[in-house]
Amino acid sequence: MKSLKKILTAVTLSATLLAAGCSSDSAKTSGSSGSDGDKKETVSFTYWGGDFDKKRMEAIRTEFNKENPDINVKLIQIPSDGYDQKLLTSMAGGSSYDVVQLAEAFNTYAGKGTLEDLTPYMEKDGVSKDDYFSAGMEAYSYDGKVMAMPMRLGAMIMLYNKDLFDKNGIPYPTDQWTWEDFHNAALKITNKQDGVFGVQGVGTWWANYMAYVESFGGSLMTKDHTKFNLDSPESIKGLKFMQDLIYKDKAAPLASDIPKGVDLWTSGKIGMLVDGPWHILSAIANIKDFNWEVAPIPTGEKFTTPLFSNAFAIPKGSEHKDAAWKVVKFWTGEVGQTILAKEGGEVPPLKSVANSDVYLKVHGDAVNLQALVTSVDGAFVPPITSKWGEINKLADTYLAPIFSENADVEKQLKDMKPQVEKMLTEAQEAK
Amino acid sequence: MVAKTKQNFSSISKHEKRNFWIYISPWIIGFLAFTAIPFFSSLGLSFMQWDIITPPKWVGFDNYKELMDDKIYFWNALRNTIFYALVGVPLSVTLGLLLSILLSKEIKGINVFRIIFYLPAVFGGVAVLMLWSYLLYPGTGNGDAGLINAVLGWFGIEGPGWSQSEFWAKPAVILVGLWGVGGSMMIWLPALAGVPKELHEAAEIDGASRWRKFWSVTFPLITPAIFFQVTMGIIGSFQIFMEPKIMPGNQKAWTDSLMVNLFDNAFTFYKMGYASAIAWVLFIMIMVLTVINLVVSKRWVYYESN
Repeated sequence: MKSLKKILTAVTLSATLLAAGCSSDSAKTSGSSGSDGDKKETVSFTYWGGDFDKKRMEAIRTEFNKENPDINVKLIQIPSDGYDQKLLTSMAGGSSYDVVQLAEAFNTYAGKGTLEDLTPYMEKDGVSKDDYFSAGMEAYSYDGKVMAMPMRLGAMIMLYNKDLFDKNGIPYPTDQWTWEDFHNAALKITNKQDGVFGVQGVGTWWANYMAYVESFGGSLMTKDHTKFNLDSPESIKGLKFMQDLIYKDKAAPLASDIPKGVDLWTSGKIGMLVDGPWHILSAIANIKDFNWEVAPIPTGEKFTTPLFSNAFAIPKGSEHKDAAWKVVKFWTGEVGQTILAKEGGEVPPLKSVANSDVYLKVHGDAVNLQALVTSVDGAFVPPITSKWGEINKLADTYLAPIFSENADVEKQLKDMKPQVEKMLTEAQEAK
Repeated sequence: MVAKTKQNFSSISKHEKRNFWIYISPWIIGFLAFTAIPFFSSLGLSFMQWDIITPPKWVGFDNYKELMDDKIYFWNALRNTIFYALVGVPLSVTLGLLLSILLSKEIKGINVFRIIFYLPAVFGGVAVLMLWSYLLYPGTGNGDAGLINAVLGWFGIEGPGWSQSEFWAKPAVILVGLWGVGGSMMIWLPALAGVPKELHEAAEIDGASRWRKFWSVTFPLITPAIFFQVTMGIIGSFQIFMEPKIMPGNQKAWTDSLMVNLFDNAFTFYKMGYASAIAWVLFIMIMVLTVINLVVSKRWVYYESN
């Protein structure tokens, strides 16, 4: 009995030691570093991404240090895969970072009241919402308060193979292009014998189907995020347009038409690619055999396209909020944004930087970045709720048969509706 | 003897006792931290709602009720999982045994073959599954991307759509699992070697055919190994995760297993309580099946000791 007690003590002791080890570690990450004797305040800052992102973040930090010698920014890079899990668990574990990068998870964090309201900081320092693209600000506002500052923006765009347009005698797409123009071009370009398709980018990925549906005047859910709206006549029109591109016109490849490991677009087999802006940098690097250009997606009932974005927020648990705000302000301010702009990829949320030649002329006249800026300017914020993951899975479950098996659109939507509305109700209740 | 050991133990010096606990502590702490505590926490969590950020909330049996009502994911995943068990386990046990019988022949260079067939058990994981999904890619109109269907094509067979087809998506998952069937020779070979040669010789003298020898001599003597493989196979197929996760069907619903469903809920939707409930339902199912296995085994498994 006595020895049992000893064991228990030993176990408890080691467990405590372990726990203490953990917490002292976290104290180090968020506490001020006084070890080297100076009074620098340390701001811990997590972000996701690879080497490219690391280079950008470090370049901005170098500039930041010049202006703020009293703040030490500790950058913590986390691989994109698993970023959300890592952030959640560390925040649940009580250790808070001072600045965190967020995207889709923003609503969940903001909804739980874990983020600092940035509106007072902005007012104090005279940072105006109007200087930023409105969709970027809207995406990171919660109950009318700005809870995060956008860092990088993008939107669904259209890349097109100029050579295929020339070959078929079709004029290049313009900002005034309609879906009918798009449809006609797709039919002309498609050439079964050569394995050439008019369009790629017809599928169940949210930005994919929403690009068509929203442009046709429909939406996944109503503006207030309470009701399913994909079964409205406008939405159905958009979905059917997509389905017809695959099955009736045979102008878009089926998933099984795309050989694994083969990129039809970069191998010149696609006339128009409706996809994200990341294709721009990859096209510059990889496409040597044909000429290509960027255009906004066509206009339907209105011009609109899904917004991609990410932002920086300050968790409520941070003990260095003022310093953290200085960091956020700098990164999303002119200096930070200019460094981003020089990459010539994603759009800087600060309008003045995005519309300057620093950004628009990065690639000389080779790429029409104005098309991307126009797209971001007219973009809509995806209807992200705290059930975003679940709803996307439902969309995958119910919409996939439409595009891969020619399933009846109305029937799929009828089955999908109660499932999505259940999620929407749960999201409302969770608020 | 037993009493003596006991006495010896209590007479061990205090110093030695302390050392004993120090030496064994990594395993005890490891067991508590990584097995026992999570095990009981998950039981508790299965009655709660927990999204990791906000504190857990007690909801009673709600998670289990929701599970029973979840026809599109849970029941579907359960059906798929049962399919993997019903089709996959007999196939892998039979093939594993057949292969091992071939590999148990004492012929020249047999070790080379043993190594070759054991290798898949050494190389495993995500990378191999990615390769498989390339191999199983259905041929397309203007090019055969998938090697397997291309080879089938040489013989005039039009390969199925594998992951792209509702009918073949699950068999594809099982097929990929069968690739590693050679790993089971670790159990089969010693079991086959354990069948006394005299018995075979005696049967031969009595004029038994090969087939007869297998069913009347070998089979009864290796039933413990078969029992072990079937039990582990069922447990393994109920926990199948990597294959359907890495090479899902064109529609995930075709291939999703209970573990995939659990993973999605826990790490994509952050419904830890709900995911824990799935884990416990899975645990209970495996437990019940294993007990049934044990009970039924008394009728057909032969142990030399009884």
